[in-house]
Amino acid sequence: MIQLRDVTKWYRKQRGRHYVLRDLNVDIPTDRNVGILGRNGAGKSTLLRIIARAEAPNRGEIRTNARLSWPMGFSGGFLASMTGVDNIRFISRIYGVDWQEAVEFVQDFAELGDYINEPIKTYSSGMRARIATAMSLFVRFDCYLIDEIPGVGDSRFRKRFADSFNELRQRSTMIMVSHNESTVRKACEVVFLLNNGEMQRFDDVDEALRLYREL
Amino acid sequence: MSIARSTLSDFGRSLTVQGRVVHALVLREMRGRYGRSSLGYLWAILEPLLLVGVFALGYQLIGRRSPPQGMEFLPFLATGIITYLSLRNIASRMSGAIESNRGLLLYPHVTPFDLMIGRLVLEGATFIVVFVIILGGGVILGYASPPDDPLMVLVTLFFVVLLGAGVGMLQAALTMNFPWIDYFMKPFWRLMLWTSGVFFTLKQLPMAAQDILLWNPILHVIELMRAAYFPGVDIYRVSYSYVGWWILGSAFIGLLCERMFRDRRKEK
Repeated sequence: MIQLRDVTKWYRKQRGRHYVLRDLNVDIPTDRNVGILGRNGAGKSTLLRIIARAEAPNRGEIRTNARLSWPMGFSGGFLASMTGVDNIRFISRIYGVDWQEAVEFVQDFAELGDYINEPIKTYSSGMRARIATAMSLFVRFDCYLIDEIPGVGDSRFRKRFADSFNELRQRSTMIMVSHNESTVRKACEVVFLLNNGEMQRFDDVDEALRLYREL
Repeated sequence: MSIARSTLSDFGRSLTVQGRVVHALVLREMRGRYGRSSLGYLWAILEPLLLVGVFALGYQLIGRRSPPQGMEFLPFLATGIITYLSLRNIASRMSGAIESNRGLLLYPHVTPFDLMIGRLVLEGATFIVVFVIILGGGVILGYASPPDDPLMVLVTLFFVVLLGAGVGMLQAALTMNFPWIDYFMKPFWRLMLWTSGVFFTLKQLPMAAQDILLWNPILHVIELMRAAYFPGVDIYRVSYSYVGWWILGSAFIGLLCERMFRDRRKEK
């Protein structure tokens, strides 16, 4: 369970504050797969970053006992000038896992070949997504925070990703921000609709999707 | 009772996490700063050594050889130049820490503060090692006598590192809110090279000039360093407490600005 209490987030714009989230009070389950739907610019990604503690709210707090992943699907998180191995090493160190095992696992999973010793900036976007996914699978989180499902990579990788994700679902859940209705319908059991800084919970995914279409 | 204990263990746990993060950051910064080859480390020593050489040569040419109060020529220059360069490096590397590591803020336990501490640890350690190697080398080669008061030299080294940290945090906070300040940092540090007592001592100046330059904390640490290093050189008009107030003040303002303007930073 992730508890958001009075969470408020605004950005400073030319004309005063622009509120993305306003006094948000909501409990997000971590024992089920959750989808977050909302229009473009509704603040879905910001919400995910706040849940992941990658960004601090201006007011309010987030409480949880679950081990949450970093917000995945962003290009960030890796330092482009460093090699794949150096990045893996860094992430392993901050999460306290063995980096040599991590390199082995990532190499086996993401199949980067010699590229693993090259700077990340030489990677294609597919390779970046693969190394990030592989690394997050190795660290093992209770709940994965995903910004748009990684639709990258060739079909072979996608199959592997789906397989490992299904295996993952035995012990982990995810919170997913997506535009893709069929992905949400397939993967999620609970849906939150984010609109005008407020969140509404739906245990009926189809009903949520119907309302989402009307937004 | 149990609450107190759990708070304490929470504190201990977050301290371990923070230690892990800073450790990882220092190792990553080493890669970034020095690369994979040992040539990078060599450059950290060569840069100040070259500067000392250039200015020593310059002094030879204009025929001024001996600094006042019986200080030896090369260690006089070396203490000033290494201290000045390290202060500049610590401050500017710290203030650039957030910009060049922004991607890492994605990880929940990596904070802007950690990024700055990571660089502080690396630059501070580099400074102390370079100082010891160059002056130690000078002693072995016979260009310098060993320090008169090694303990106070060590204390002053730490004051230099902390002053660099304070100035770095202040510079980071300022450039974050007023990006144009960056353009003035280069001329600012060049001015500091000539007004911080790298090439002169305070005593050599007329009173009026002394009164003005005494505002500069860098002058204080360089004078304090020489008073600790050379026998027969006393602390004259400078003090550790003045430097201490600068450290506290600049760190306080820097951290305050970081907190106040936090929301502006991540706008993009």
